[in-house]
Amino acid sequence: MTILRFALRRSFRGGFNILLLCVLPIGVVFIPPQEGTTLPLGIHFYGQVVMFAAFLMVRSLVDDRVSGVLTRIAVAPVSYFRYLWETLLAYGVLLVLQNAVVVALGRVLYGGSLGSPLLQWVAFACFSLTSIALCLAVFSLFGRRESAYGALSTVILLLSLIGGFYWPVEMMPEALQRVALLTPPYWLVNALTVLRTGGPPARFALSVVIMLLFTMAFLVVGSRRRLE
Amino acid sequence: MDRQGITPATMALLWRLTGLSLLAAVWIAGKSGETGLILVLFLAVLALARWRFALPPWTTLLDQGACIAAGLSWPEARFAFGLPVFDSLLAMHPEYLLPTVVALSLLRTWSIPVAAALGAAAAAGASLHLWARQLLRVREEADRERGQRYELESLKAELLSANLRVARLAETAERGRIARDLHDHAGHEITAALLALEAFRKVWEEGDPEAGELLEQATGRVAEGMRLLRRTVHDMAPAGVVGLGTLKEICRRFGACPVKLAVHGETGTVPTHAWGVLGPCLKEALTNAVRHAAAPRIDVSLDVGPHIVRLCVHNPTRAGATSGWDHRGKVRHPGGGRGIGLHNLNQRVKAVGGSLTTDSTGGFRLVCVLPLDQRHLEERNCREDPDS
Repeated sequence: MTILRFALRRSFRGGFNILLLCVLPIGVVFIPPQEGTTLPLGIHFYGQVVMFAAFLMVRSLVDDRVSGVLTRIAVAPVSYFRYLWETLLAYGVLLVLQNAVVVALGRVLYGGSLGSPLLQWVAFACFSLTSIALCLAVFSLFGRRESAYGALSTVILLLSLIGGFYWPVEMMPEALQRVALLTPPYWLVNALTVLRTGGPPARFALSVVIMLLFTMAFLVVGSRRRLE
Repeated sequence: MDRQGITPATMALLWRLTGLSLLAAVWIAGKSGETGLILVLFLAVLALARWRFALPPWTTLLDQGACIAAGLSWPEARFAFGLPVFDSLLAMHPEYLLPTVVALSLLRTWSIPVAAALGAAAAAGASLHLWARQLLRVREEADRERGQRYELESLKAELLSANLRVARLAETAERGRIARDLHDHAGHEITAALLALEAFRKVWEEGDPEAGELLEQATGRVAEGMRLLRRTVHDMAPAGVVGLGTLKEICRRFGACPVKLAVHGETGTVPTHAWGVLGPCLKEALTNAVRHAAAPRIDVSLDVGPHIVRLCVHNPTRAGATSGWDHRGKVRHPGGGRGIGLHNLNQRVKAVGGSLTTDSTGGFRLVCVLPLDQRHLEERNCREDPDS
C-alpha cells in the first residue's frame, strides 16, 4: 500500500489542491437555491468541482508518465495494474470522503428536502468514480501534458454545459436534451432530482447503472499503459 | 494513436466506434426511453474491452443477449446486432451468431436496411479477419527471414574467426617446416663442413698431403649447404606480393587520383592475418572514396605500434563537391540504404579483434585498428634476445 499512501499524501501537496479538495466543495454548498431549479445551485456546481478535483488528482498520473516515474515503476517489482489500482483507489477514497462531507453539509443546510443522504452519497460516489475514469481516459489519449490538460478542461466544461450543471436541461433545445443523456453529469443531476422530488427508485437505480457503465467504458480506455 | 500505423486492430476499433456512433445517433433521433442508451453503453464497454483485451469469441453472446433484451422495448435495437455479427466474423466463429438469426426471425424484424447493415458488418468482419491473417503470415515470414539473416551473419563471423585461426596455424606449420628443412638439410651439410674443416686443420698442421682433399670435401659441403639454404629461402618466399607490398601495390595501381602512402613503425611485427584484413580495408576505402566522395587526393597512413597497427585512409572532399557520406560516415545511396562493403569489412575487422570507425568531418576518414598478436611479438623478442 506504499503507492496508495504516497498518492494520498501527494493529493494534498500545494495550496490549490487543498483549496479544491477541502475548501471549495464546502464553499459551493452554501450557494443559495435559485428560482426555476429543482436542486440548489450549489449542488449543481459541486458536480463540476468533483470533476475538476478528479482532474487535479489524476493529472499526477500524467506527470508520472512525462517525468519518467512510470518508467522507473516499470523496472520496479510493482505491476502497472497495482500502481494504477492503488493510485485510483486513493483518489476515489478522497473524493468519496469529500462527497460524504458535502452531503452532510447539505443535510444541515437544507434539512431533509434533498432526499435520502445515503442515496445522495451513492450518487455522488458513482459520479466521482465516473469523473476519475473520464480524466484517466482523456489523459491516456494524449502524449503531451499540455495537450492533455487543455483537452480535459474543454471536455469537462462541455459536459458540464450540456449535462445540466449550469442550467436545467429542459431549458435547452430538444435535440440537445437528447444529447445531454449521453453525458454523465446529466445522470448525476437526474439521480439527485429523483431523490429530491421523490421519484421512483428505479429511475434512481437507472442513473446509477448508467454512471457505472460510463465508468467502465472510460476505465477500459484509460487503463492503457503509456510509458513514453 | 498507434505508431505501427493502420492495423486490423485499429480498423476494427474504428468500425466498432462508427457502429456505436450510428446506433447512438439512431437513439438520439428517436423518442424511445433509456433502454437504447443502456444498450449503447453496454456495447461500448464490450467493444472497448475487445480493443484492450483479447476477449474470447463466445463473449459476442453477451452482445447478442443485450440486443435481444433491448429489442423487446426498443425496435431499433435490431441494428445493434451488427456489432456481434462483426465481432463473430472477425474471430471467424459464425456459429455464435445463431441467437441473432433466431431472434431476428422470431421477432420478425428482418428488413432490407437491417439485412444490409448486418451484411456490411459481416463483410467488414470477414475482410478484417483475412487481412489480420495475411499480416500475421507476412510478419512470420519476415521474422523467419530475419532469423536466417542473423544465422548467416553469425556463420560468417565464425568463418572469419576460423580463417584467422587457420592463418595462425599455417604460420606455425610453416615455421616448423623451415626449421625442419634447415636442420635436416643445410644444418647437416654445414655441420659436416665444420667437422671436415677441423680435420683439415689437424692434417694441415701435420703436413699431411691429404689436407687438400679434406679442404675440397669441406668446400663441397659448404657449397651444398649454401645450395640447400638458398632452396629453403626460395621456398619461404611467397609467390605474390605480401605484407606492406600489398598495400603499396594497391596504392600504385589505383589510378583515379593520387594516393600518398606513409608508413611508420616496424611492419615486420604485423602478423600475416592482419595484412589479410588491411589490404581489403584499403581497397574498400579507395573504391568508396572514388565512388562517393569525389576525392582530389587520398592520404593513406599505416602506423605500427607495439600493440596495434592503425590504417588511416583520408580523402578531403573537393571544394563544391557533394559528399557521398552522411554525418555518421554511412554511404548515402540513392535508395537511402547503407552499402554492404563497410558492413562486411566491419565484420572482418571485428573477427580479428579490431575496430573500424569512420568520420565524415572535412571529407571522409576511415580508421582501421587491429591488435598485434602479443604472442607473436614475444616469440620475436625471444628470438632477438635469447638470453632474456
